[in-house]
Amino acid sequence: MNDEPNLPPNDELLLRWIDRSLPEVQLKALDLSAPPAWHEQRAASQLTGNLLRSSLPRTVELPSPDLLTSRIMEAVQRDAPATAPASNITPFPSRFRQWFAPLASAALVAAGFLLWNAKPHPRSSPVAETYTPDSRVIARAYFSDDADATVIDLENLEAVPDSREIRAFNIASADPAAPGEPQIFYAANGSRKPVVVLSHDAASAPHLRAIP
Amino acid sequence: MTSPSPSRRHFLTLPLAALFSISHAFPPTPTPPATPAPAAAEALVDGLLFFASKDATTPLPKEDKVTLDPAVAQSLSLRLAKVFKFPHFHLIGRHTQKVFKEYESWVVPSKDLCLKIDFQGPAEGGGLHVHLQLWQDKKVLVKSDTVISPGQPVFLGGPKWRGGRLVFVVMQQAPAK
Repeated sequence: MNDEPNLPPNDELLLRWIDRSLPEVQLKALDLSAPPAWHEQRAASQLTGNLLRSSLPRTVELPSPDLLTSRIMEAVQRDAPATAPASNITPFPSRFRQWFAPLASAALVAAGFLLWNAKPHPRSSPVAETYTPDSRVIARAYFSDDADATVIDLENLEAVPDSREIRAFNIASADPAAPGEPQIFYAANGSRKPVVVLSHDAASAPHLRAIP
Repeated sequence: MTSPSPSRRHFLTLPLAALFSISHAFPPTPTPPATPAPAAAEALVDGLLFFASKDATTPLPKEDKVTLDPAVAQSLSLRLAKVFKFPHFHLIGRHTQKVFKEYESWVVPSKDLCLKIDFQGPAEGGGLHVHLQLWQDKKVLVKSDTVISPGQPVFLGGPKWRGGRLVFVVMQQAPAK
């Protein structure tokens, strides 16, 4: 699946110009010939980048994409009014919108990162950032001082049917498989008996096959 | 299909440009080598599947015998009982697995619940920053960025089953001295 945004050619050119990923000759030509709106976008982008770099220490691990996206969306939804009020305000002139839109979007991205970075990262009490793809499932993550453990408590999960036998194993560490090959896990009792084979389907979901 | 207005396109363009800009602030992720072996391992973790139950005599699945140091097992049961309100924790599956630096690591104490671990860097006290994904069959139940440290496991409270509950524990083994 191609995740690249399907941008119009001009936008792609703009992105690559801002990102300085064009050939040097083309960069110089665009530096001279780009319209003022592009220069405004580049300045806003650089401002955002500088802001983010200054607020994210180099040692900070960027969150996984799903977690970052969910946090930004949570922040957006939290700050958005519940219902859009009927408006009789005269819209901004289009010229104002043209530079306000990029600044607003830059602020949104920056706010997302800053929100993430502003969350406390206690050193003695590790916690977990969580994301549940099923919106009905709630993950309560906290550090239990009593148990001296990080807890991720999943609520509203569908129960496993009582009639189902849980197939459990006692297996030893296995090295990664060669690309495209299934990974084979062996019994932990030293017998080198293969116990389970792990492969992945097209969607990267695991497929486990127990060996009788 | 109509093309978006300039301001809408800019609304998309600038965040992307900012993200590209950030990506240049961090070193690129190294590409794993084509051949997997020998894979560099960062640590050894135990993935333990417990069945939390109100009944000490709840029949367990007749599977491979799972062993754990009795002192560790007792300590874990006590700690689990402080979080999950069950009196009995039956260990039904175990998988001791290396966590690789450049490869995903799968911890499979059971066919029904398994855990994918992506190493994200060392943590204080010899621990690991990890990205976890708990899978049930073809469904990912939760994704999490967290830390596993020796002595400080992660408890994942899973689905209910037979009047009890499945609990996945992932704990880092203390490095050999």
